[in-house]
Amino acid sequence: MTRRAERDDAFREYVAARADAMRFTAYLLAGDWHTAEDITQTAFVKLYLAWDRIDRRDSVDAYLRRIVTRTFLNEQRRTWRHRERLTDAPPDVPAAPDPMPEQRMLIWRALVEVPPKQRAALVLRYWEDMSVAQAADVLGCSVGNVKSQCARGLDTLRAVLRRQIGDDADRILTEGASW
Amino acid sequence: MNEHDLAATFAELRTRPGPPLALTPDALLDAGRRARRRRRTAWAGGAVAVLCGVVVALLLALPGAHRSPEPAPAPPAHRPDRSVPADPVPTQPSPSRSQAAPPGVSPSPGSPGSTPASPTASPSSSWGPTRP
Repeated sequence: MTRRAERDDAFREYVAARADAMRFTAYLLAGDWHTAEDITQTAFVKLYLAWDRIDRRDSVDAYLRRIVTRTFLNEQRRTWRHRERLTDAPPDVPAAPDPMPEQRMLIWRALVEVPPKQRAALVLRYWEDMSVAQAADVLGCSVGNVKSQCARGLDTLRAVLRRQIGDDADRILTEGASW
Repeated sequence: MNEHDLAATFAELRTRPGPPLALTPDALLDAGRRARRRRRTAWAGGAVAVLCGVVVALLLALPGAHRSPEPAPAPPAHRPDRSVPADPVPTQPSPSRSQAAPPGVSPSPGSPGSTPASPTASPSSSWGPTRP
């Protein structure tokens, strides 16, 4: 078997094992499945181009998470530049297809309105379970910046929740504290 | 709400089934190969463009390096000032050049009696061949 065939087999195996998990991370970042799939595809293509330079599996995971996050942030910058239009209408919120506990559904809807970098910091810290230093490495910023992005992200999330649910915010958030 | 609630929300979302994954390993492999091919083509094109630029620059630069410099203007011929005679003592006038020249060879017009620019030039080289 040639070296190229071995490399392709290893890549194929890795994709089969990790594509779904990476798509879910991209979904948390982007907020919709279609964009998540685009980000995942872009990330795997970039991974293929760098496959020969990465030898260990844990390095591959870290590298892929970094590509997914940065691809998401780059896409957000690009689409903001090209598609941002000022309007007085409230932004559309993606509807949830399946029933979900009320509080968590509210949090998920609110998360979509959190600015991209804050959202990325929250996803890396509280879904990927990264340390602050690892998240800083993925985001390409300082440790202090990650901490502030996370704190601001949670503040933004609370503010959005209060705006969305109005007077019931305190009740729901208080109930949510005992989940 | 705190970070634990957020983590619980993420975990809840993970348990919900998403749409089927449209990406297959073979499709991603093909996309990766295409991207690699595009990248190599772009590298080769860039290298060719740079090479062409270097060749054009060399072609433009080399003739300038070998071009002979413009000839410097010749210094004005030193002619004796005839307004002031070198020898204040008048001597017997020497025969003019038209008289000294052999018949058939005329001096340049408008310069009767003028001395040649180079005093070392022989009459034959200055005035042409003499008739036998």
